[in-house]
Amino acid sequence: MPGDLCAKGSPDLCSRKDRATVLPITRRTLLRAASLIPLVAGDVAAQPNAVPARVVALDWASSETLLSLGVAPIAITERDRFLSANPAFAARAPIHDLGAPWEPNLELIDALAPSIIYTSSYTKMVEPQLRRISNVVVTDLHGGRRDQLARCAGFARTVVTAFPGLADGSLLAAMEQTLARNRAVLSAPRHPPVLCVYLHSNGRFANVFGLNSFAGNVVAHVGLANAWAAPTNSNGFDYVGIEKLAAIASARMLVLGDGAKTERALKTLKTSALWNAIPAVKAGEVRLFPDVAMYGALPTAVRFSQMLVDEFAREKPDAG
Amino acid sequence: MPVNILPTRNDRVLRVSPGLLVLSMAGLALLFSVRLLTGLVPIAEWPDAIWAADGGDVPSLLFVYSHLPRIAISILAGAALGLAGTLLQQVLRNPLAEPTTLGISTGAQLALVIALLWQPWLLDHGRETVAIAGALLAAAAVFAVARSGQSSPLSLVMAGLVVNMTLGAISGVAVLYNHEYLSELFVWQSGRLEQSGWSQVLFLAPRLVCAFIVSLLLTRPLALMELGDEGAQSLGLRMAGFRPVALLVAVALSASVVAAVGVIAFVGLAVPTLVSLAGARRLKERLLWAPAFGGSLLWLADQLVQQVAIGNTTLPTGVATALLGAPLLLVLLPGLRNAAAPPAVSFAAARRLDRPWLAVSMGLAVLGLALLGALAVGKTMGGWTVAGVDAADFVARWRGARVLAALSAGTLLGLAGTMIQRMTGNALASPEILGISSGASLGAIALTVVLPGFGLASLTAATTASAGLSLIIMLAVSRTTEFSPQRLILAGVALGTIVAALSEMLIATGGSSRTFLLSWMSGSTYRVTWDTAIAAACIATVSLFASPLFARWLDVLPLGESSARSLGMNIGQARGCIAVACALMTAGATIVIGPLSFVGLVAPHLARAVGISRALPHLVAAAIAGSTIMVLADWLGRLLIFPWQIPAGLLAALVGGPYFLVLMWRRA
Repeated sequence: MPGDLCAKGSPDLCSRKDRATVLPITRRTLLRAASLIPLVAGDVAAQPNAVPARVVALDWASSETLLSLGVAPIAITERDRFLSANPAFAARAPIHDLGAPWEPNLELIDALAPSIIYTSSYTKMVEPQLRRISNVVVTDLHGGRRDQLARCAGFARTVVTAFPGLADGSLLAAMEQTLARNRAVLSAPRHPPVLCVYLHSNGRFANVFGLNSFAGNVVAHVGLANAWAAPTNSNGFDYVGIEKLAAIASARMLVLGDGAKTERALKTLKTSALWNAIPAVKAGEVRLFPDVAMYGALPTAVRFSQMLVDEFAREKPDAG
Repeated sequence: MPVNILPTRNDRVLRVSPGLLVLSMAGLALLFSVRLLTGLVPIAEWPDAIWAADGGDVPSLLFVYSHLPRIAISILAGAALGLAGTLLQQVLRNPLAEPTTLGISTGAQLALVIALLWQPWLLDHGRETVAIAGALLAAAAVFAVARSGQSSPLSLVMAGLVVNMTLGAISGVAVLYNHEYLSELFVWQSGRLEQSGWSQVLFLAPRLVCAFIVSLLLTRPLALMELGDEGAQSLGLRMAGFRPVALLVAVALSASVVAAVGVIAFVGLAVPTLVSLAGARRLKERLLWAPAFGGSLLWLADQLVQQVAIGNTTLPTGVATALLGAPLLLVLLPGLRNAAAPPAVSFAAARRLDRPWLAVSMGLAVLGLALLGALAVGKTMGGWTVAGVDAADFVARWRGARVLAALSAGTLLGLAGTMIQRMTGNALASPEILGISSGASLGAIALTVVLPGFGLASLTAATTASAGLSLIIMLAVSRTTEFSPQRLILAGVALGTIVAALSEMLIATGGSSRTFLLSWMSGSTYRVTWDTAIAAACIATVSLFASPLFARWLDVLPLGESSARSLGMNIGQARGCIAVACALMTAGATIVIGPLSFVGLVAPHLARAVGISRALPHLVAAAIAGSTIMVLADWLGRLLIFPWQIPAGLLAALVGGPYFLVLMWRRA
């Protein structure tokens, strides 16, 4: 396949001789390869000055950042699940699936001859191998510190800079604007602290998102207090028994993930005396939210912050 | 011939009566509980808290709906496991029988996992039915393979181990491709007793009571089983009916515990043993004391666990019992008598080849074909590709190291497996069972905790060091018996349980180390670099050339201890040397391929099934068979669900486990 692309006159696609020697043997391969050409060519046509970029993304945070800025990776990991979690990107869906995020298919990445590989520290163990394929950008968006939104925005800006013709700077500006608009619109005394949880389907345990989690960063950004102040693991979340939630007074509980799993859990919990005695449940302060990626990036942050603002701004602030 | 390896009536090992044992455990547990509860609600207000919980404040709610049911479930689950363990040990005449060693817990667990992933509605109504179905299937497999009553205690435990590992591999694949459920499943598997109401208690209590009543009704026939089948029949008792009923009760009760709280290891093993060591010899006494002791033991363990906070949470109770119980098993070993009963599966080759080296060269040809395929044939964007000679660079970069590593690991495991099987005279022994793989994993697990951003060098150092350490421990506990194979195997089982429990806890805790642990523990060659592969290849080459040094020992040892002695052999020395060599080889293989794969078990067996019986050709043939299996597993793992990959060790285990169970079943 790379051979075909070379013939089309894209010298950057066949800079490494050895790739051309892994010969596809089926007719279907050739047809698929041929179907790829207009796609690359189309990009070139639309952006006459742009160098066609062959981008590969190994983590979902990079994938959603790239796609939201108009840069379609040719391949991402866990493609099908990513697309069902982010249906908005279906129109510009990446063509190739690279397999599991913890073991992206190295042979396939090499055969795809990417010009750049985006990944996170998740694939740290194979970073040297990746570097031998192409340029590697290792993002550092999550964990530890509480400036995750700034890091996500910074990363998005580097994407715009890296693909001057391809990436749409106005999309980035719109996202940053929304985020800036939502900064500290809500405030702790007027609005109750929030408790972001993800329920296990047996109804006995929950993942809680603390200050250092990605969701916790968004909560802090819009000005809300996080009801879960206890220490968590390095990625900012922890799993606890439901009974631990009972100790948290006057918070609004945001149950993330509105799928069948959460429904099952809530059905089980409906009859649980302890669950019904949790202050937030008792006060009718439980809201079902769509799933928020545990390791999201700028688009998720924008979406979640807007959901939070919509949720709270609708209502009259508490007196006092 | 059933084997009684418990001490006889006269030598009471523990100098306490069962009553005192129960009272002291329960007393301590009560103290801790009261301390915990008074921290929540002062004693004077307890009645109010209990009667007015629903309208009360948060502490009294936690008191009534979290802490009290947790105490109750710990007592109930402990009692149920104690009772189930006693029944199983009595019916099977096997002091090592318990829900975990017989695969019952794993079976129940896997059935629940499968239901959760694919038919979640089953769990709303038939949770228990699902668990019992899984438990029965797993137990049936173990019994069928080991021929329950007739075989030695160790055969049953080893069949249980293979079933456990196979089911674990299946559940590994299920989880790998549904990893949104990952932490949920691992939380559940690690056996946590957190409660949020009385529903689990109300679920388990009536089942325990029923099981208890049935076992009391069965006491007389079950007690007569000690006379053996003939003795019981002469007293006019038909055994055929009682045995299945008692087994069914024990399996169903264990499955209920799994459905309620997950897997709690070792309680079912330790409790009946401790109770009889404390002097409860008659079955009726044991049936009364074992639930009482089990309940108080798990109550105490659960209270102790709650004293130590780890971040927001505590050690899962199931992990704690495994950590406490496994060393207990090692401590109890010297008290177990007559443990050296020969396992039932015979070691003789089915037929004997006149020209074994011809078979070896044919094996080499097959290996060559597998190597060629693994290196040259792959998949890419649109379909299959065959790499030509001109693609050597591509092949060397992506496939070379993996294939070399798989080849070396297979060779090492084949050699180690053959040595262990010939040394123990047991066709069911393997490096996995020796506990070295588990020891090596323990090092990797510790490393991910201590030094999250580790590299290859520290991983190699950690696994080798801990494999060596576990070897020293195992040699120490089995030295007094001249490294008796039975001792080694039991120690291996104990170590394996600790490792499984710890890794499940770590994976559930999340964080960046868990994907590494998951993929390494499932035997992936994905991360192998040329450095690792070449290191493994060096170890494999040295081992292969050193193997003739062991040939004489390995020819003589299967003949039995007395024959070996009469030939002038120092058995302790020979076994010690072989054990050290096996440990080194297993550690080398484990670094590459992780702890899971049945290659060490299957490869020597394949070689023997062909008809190779002398030690040296057996070693070479097993090395070839092992490396062929691993190379094929690595290759197919890359192709079957392209672009996703199935870890080579997992694939080998998925095929090797069932294959081996069928072989055991046919030959038993």
